[in-house]
Amino acid sequence: MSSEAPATGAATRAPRRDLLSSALARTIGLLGAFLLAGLLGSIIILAYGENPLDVYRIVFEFSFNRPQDIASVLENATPLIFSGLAVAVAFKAGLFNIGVEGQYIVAMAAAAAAALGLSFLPGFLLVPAVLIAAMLGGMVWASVPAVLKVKTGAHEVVTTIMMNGIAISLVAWLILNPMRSTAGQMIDLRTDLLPKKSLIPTIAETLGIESIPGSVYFTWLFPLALVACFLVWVLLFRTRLGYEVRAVGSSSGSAEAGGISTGATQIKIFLISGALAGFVGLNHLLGDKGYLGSNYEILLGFNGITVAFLGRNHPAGIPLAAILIGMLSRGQDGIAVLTDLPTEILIILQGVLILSVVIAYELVSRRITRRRQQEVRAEEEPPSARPAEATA
Amino acid sequence: MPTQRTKWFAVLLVVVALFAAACGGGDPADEEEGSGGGGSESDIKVGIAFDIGGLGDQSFNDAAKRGLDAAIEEGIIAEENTDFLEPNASGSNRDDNVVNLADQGYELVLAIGFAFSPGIDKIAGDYPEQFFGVVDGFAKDVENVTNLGFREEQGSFLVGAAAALKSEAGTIGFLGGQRGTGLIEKFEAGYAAGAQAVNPDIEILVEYIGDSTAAFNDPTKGEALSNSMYDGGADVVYHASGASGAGLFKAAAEQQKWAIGVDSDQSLTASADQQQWILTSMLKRVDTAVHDTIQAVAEDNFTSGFQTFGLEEGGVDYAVNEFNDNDELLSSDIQAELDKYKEQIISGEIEVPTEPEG
Repeated sequence: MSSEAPATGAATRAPRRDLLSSALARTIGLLGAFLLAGLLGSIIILAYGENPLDVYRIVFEFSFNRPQDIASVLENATPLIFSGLAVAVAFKAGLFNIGVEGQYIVAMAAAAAAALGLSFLPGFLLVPAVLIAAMLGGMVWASVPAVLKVKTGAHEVVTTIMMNGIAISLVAWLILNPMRSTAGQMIDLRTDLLPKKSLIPTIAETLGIESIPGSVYFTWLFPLALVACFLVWVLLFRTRLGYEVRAVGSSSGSAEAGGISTGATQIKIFLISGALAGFVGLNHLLGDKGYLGSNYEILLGFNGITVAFLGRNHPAGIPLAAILIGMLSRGQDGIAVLTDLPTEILIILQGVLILSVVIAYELVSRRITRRRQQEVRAEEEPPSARPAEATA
Repeated sequence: MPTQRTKWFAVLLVVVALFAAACGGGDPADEEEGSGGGGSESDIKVGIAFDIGGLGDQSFNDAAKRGLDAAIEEGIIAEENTDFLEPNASGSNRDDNVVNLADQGYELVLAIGFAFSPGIDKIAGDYPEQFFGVVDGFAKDVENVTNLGFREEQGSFLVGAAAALKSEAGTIGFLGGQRGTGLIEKFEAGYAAGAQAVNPDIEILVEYIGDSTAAFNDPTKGEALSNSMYDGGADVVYHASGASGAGLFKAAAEQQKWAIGVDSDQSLTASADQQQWILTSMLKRVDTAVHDTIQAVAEDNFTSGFQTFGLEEGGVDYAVNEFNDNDELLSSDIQAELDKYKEQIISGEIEVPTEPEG
């Protein structure tokens, strides 16, 4: 499908122009998708008798009006970046990790256990230990479907979904029995409070920014999430494993023929996916609550699938998609507080947006493919008209 | 290709046109409502953060809404200055809802449920000019937070007296949820005291479902223990066991013996065959607590710390409704007796214990 034709003068310039114009086409397609989603959303909002522009304005104002609103959006985005990355790296190898949900739930329990069990460590050792425990928790939970996939061929979609159910029950049991706090004697089901030195402070607290109140948990995990994006990019596009992953993802048969062990690659990348999933619940656990309670935040893993999809499984697209979803969920707060609309309206909007993005990507990539085919065909014909076009 | 481009353009045009149409659609007319009401309305804004279940739970959340509605009706606050938020299914955004209401400048944010307490501890300090109230709360005692508690033992005394007055066997039962926290023991102590005030020789069977919070959600065990108390001779059983109480009502209907509900008027939500066996319920009047707290803030009279709502404050009561207000269940004789006890408790003549004897 490559358009890189014989090494004529025109062809050396063509790829860059191609890249630019296809990026442009993708941007236009994406904008169109947003417009379409906004429009369909408007119809639904109108059906409820509210003004769609008011609703969209509320979403924007609630997301960007004040520093603390932006911080809230980024707080929402933090776990989604990790879960988006976890889904995306597996997807690059052609694996569908639906189990991020269960992996992060187990990882939260592992992190809480480490924070409580290793509380004798000084803070600068305890925090890394807790992070490693979370990664290990996610990896252990991911290893089961990974091994089952490679050894028995059991499909990872089925096994990861089942592992999610087991994770929820396991952690419920842990909170009810061995990890249950004796201090919270009432109906307040939780672990002991984690030692303060194991918690991750908010950026505002560290830098002394007073305009952001302490109840906005925009923590140092956000920059860490961006670092994770960069590392995933390096892994996928600058390492041998990344190359193998992408090869297995695009065609496991030819990867195998080319000397890559499909099974080993899939297990490795699934473990990396699980390690990334380990970070998903940490903003909730170490930034916000400071203990693991029976009503921890759920669905972050499933939302990661949305984020990975909207971000095109690319480590640069994922943070943007996560911020977008973070904005929509911040917008839900605004709609709940300021209008009589059901907040589900933004969940519908999110669904509509995903559908429109699918359509837009499809239209744009068809158009790009078609144009490339035409260009290839044109190049094969007498190249008389080329120079004029190439300078354009 | 021109056709392709034209198509895109057409789509874009339609989008823009529809968008414009959408903008014209909204009407400012829906702003004008609730301008009636009393003349002396305070302009404070009151927000309520519901717990799981939200509106329509026929329990705490609905009761809180009734308290808010009463305050609006009495002209204490204006309807357009109120708002309420429901949490998601897991309740993980409880704190977010409280923050959002406080952030919008609601002078009083009421959180309906003890589970809000740890969150309020963290949030209240960020909004020192605003007030927070937590129903059944155990939040820290700071200047702008009040925990709204109830004197469950007083309400339990009344239903204990009702049980003794109704009982023909001279034996009644108590089904508790979680043992050992002192919370449910308060219900037991009041119930026993009320029954003994009527009949000092009455036998009281006591069963607890368990030692963990799971005891509040185990209808199967609730049913088994209720059956064993009915089999042991009790003909009235009162429960303080949350969702496990469903088992009591099932057993009562099967054994054709009487049961007493807790927290809200449970005969209103029971099935018809159970309804005829629910003698009454011990009411925690969340609506009263909500109403009174709103009034206090409106009158610039907020009390921080821990407030308890007993019989005197109208915070607890026994339930009378269309289903039990008859001779089959809560006869007028019994009601007259109960009202006498009520007065004696309010006047201080009777002091209800909060811990069971022995």
